[in-house]
Amino acid sequence: MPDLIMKDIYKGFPGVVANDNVNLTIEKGEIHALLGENGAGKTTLMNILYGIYIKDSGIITWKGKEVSFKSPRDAIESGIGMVHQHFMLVPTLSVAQNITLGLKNKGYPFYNKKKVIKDISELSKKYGLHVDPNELISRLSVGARQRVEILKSLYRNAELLILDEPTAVLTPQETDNFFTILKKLKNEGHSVIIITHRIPEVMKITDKVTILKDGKNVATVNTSETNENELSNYMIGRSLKTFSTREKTNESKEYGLVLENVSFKSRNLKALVDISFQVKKGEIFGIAGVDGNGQKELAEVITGICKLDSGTIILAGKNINKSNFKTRKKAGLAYITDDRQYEGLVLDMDVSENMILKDYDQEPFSKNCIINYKVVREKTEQRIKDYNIKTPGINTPIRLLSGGNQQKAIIARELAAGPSVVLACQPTRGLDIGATEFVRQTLIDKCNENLSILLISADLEEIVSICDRIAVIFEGRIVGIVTNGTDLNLNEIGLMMAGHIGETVNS
Amino acid sequence: MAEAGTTLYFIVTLFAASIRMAVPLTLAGLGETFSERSGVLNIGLEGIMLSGAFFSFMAAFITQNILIGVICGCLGGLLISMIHAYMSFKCYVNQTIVGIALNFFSLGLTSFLFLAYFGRTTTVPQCPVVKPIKIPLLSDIPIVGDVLFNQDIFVYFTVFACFVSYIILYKTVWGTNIDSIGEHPKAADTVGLNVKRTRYVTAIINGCLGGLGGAYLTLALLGFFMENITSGKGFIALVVVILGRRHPFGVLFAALLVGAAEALQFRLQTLGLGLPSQVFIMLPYVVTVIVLLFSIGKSSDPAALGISYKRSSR
Amino acid sequence: MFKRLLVIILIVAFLFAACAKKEAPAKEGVFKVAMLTSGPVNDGGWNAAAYQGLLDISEKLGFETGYTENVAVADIEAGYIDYASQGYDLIIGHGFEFGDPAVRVGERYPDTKFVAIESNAYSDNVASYRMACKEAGYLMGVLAAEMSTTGKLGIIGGVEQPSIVQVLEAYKLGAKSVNPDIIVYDVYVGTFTDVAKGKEATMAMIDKGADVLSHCANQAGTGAIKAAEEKGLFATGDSYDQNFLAPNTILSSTIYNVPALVLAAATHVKEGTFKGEIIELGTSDGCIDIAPYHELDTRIPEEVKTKIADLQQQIIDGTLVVPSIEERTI
Repeated sequence: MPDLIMKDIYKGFPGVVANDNVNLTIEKGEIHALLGENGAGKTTLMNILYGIYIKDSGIITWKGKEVSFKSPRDAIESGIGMVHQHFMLVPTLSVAQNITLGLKNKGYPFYNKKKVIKDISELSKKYGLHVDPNELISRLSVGARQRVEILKSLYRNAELLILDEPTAVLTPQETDNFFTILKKLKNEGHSVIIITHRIPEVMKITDKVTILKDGKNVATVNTSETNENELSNYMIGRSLKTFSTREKTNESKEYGLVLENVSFKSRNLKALVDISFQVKKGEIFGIAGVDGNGQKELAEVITGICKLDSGTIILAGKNINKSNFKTRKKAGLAYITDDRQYEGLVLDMDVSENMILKDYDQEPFSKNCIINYKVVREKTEQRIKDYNIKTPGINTPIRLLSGGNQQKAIIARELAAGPSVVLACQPTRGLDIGATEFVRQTLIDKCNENLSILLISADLEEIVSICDRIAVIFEGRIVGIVTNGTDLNLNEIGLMMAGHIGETVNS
Repeated sequence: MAEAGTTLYFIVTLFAASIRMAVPLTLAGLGETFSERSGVLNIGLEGIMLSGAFFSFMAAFITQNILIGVICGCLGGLLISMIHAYMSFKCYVNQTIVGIALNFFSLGLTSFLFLAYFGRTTTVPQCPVVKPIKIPLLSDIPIVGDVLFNQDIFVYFTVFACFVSYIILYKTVWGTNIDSIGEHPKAADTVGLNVKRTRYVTAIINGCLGGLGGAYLTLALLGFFMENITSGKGFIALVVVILGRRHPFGVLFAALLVGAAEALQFRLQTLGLGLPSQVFIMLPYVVTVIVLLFSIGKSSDPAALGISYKRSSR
Repeated sequence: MFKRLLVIILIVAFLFAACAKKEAPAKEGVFKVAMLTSGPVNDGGWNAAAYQGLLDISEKLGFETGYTENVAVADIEAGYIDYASQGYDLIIGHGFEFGDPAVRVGERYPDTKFVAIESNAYSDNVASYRMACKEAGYLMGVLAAEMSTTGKLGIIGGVEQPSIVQVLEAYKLGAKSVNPDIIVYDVYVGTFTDVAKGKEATMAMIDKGADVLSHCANQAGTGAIKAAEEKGLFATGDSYDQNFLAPNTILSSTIYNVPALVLAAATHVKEGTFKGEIIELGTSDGCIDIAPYHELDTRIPEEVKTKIADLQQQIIDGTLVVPSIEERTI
């Protein structure tokens, strides 16, 4: 008898069917992957199991009994724990407080700190989940926060752990450590469900895979009896297009963007320290690194949102230190932000309005402070066609578009002005494979048109697949710059991402 | 010697005045502290206090019983805070707008009911007021004793409420729960805390304490009710909450500071310095702004302050 | 559905409220008086007093009357024009803000007379009628000084503005006439409504030794009376007989007789004694008075009562003129 059976689960949201009669079976002590593209309905299914969403129909059987969790509390009490992709931790509270949040321990309502800390220490030793129980969450690295989340579930005696995209934010080393923890959990008799779209991981650590596509079951297979290609076929319905290292079509000696000893302090902390690099015309230059090591600050200093403290930035041969955002844009800088929903778009405005967010005050969109909506409409329609943006119409609020189409709209807007330098910050984050391919191909095309591309990405696979040269950023410093090629040592990059100083290959 | 005596007397009477001014601000501020720590911004504090002042007076006037007056004061404050809670948590109306509306509502409601009950009389109806309670021995300390330990029950309760609030917010799991709900309601929800219920509880605390703050005006300070008797004290209490950084004792000290500034300006006016009275009337607000300037960047609002929580939103 | 209905009902109600209070045009030949008030005429205070005056005009003089209440500052001119074009003989604007618009409208209707109450604007056919509140203030000062044993008095004012300062300064003069060395603490609380503040300001003066407390601060002044009552001291009331607030505390009160003022204005116009200037009416015209001593009658020495009565008579005779001081002195 399997531990968990989810049968014919159906869940609809206004306008979408998120789960269409999905089935899932989990045996005790197995690591089970829930594989699928973004929007395939994996997270929705798990949120139903965890009591966050209420299913429209279907049956869930847990340990032989039919259950229907009305809230996460019910799920937790039955021994099911979930680690969300966006961690559910309160940054202003300590590790121990977060782990025991919502529990009624001995001495309730008073807080028995001594016992709690002792319990947590024992638990973290047993599973190798090292973390200081007294530290505030806001001071922890992403990897440590994940360990806290897992501890939180274990502290509540979770027998089944649901992990939503657990490796998305980890360095290669942290990922390895994480896999070790998973094995320990399995050996202790816990079942684990991993939500992911990363096929190599699935192959490496899981026992079984259930693949979802468009809210429906595609297949369930034993990991040992399948291979990457088959899984990829299941997941996207076609084979994954692998980017080999590109052929250089035009190597230029001119530089599009040059940074010299750029330093920047944010809230009195050194966010960027002596950053220097040059991006040639017709080159894709990648900045790799774990999130939160200064990538955002780097992008904002280059775009002029933040003022640098020292150093020089040269755009297309001109010093732009003193220019503001708008002048830099006019000088040829395009910026694809990593936070498209808050910085890139105004979600409640429609597609055409979002298209002109940055040029609404210039011809041909407006003359004498009056917007010419006819031109706006024509240009928008043209771009929708050029970039294959799927939208019901140009007057649809952009909120209603999928992430991929929102990103296409941003790219269409940013590239329309004919820039000479493109700064792309995490451009494929959260996009499905189809949209990801489109974005990468667009960047490559622009590079071939002799533009300079600066790609900041936490996705190492992405960096390696399209960049000509790769710099690794760690705690605000460039720890090494390497040229991409067949002899590229991924392990070395991984070490640099964790802070080891690498060799700098300047060209 | 006489000079020193006068100075001491001046300080002691000033302190006594500060306490009188601080009590309603502290009570209302404590309630709002609970509310805001759980992520609910209730601008309607003025309305809560006014409603508390009115209903406590009515009850005490009709029954001639102060205890019933106090209870009805709590219920009066509760009425306004529950409307706020219902509108924010159930109807998802913007919390600030509801708060502003409730201030007007409360002013209109209390004025109307007062008029409806007493009609257009020229007399001002009066209710019994609480008597000071002497604490034996302590109140016998020369000069200081009479100020600190010969106060009415509201003053003692205010100090007591500060201690209890401090213990709840900083020493118990409840406090942690409230903070987590104000900071990250979704995280609290996923570990099984009931976000809405907790916020209703803090709204109840807010209503009761705010109502008590209003009741202090009618049942202790004045003994009668008049239209808009709170005259903006609820708004000052909101400032006190921020000044005190949502810490019970912070709120107490902030209220004492504002109260002291107010008491001091009246005393400065009697010195006959020849300055326009407006200069003195400004003093409490100048003090407030200066303190706020010094505390810039040292405190931060709960992340979910003013945002109603909806579970199923994608 | 219910909500929508409610909104419609409210809108209709508002429209009715806005149109309702316009009186039907009057018959020819009868002297007609109209009044504009800034708030509702049943506010139990300032506007109600004016309305009482209008009723008196209708009753005692037999004039035809009309009124519009809740007139916003922006609508004052329109209100004046409305009545002037209907042929009203006298239009009274009740409040300081009604002065300047009257002058502007008065130019277009030279045959109509305009009176603004407690204002300072005037022209050929526009007059401002004011009350000499200072006269009562002076008498209160005398009474308070006579009753003080500490030689210290306290008085709170609402907001530091000429009409209030006048009363406080007259009070000080009255007190000094009794005892040149007397100390009068005067504190402006900056509000006419905050009772708690009024009380606290008074407590500050009591702490400094003041033993008779007075006020000129409307609702906030009630706090002053309350403070005096609590400490077992004497107080004086303001505007009307406030004895009922604290029978064993209030010695007497100033009385500002607004209905008499309004009635006087109408009488002047009717009798042809109307002048386009600032008219100040006081004790001699029956517009200013002081309240009886009630329960405290026996506590006030006979010679004090006689003195007050004498002074009041001197004011009426014109042998005593209380000066008008509109700026605060130290």
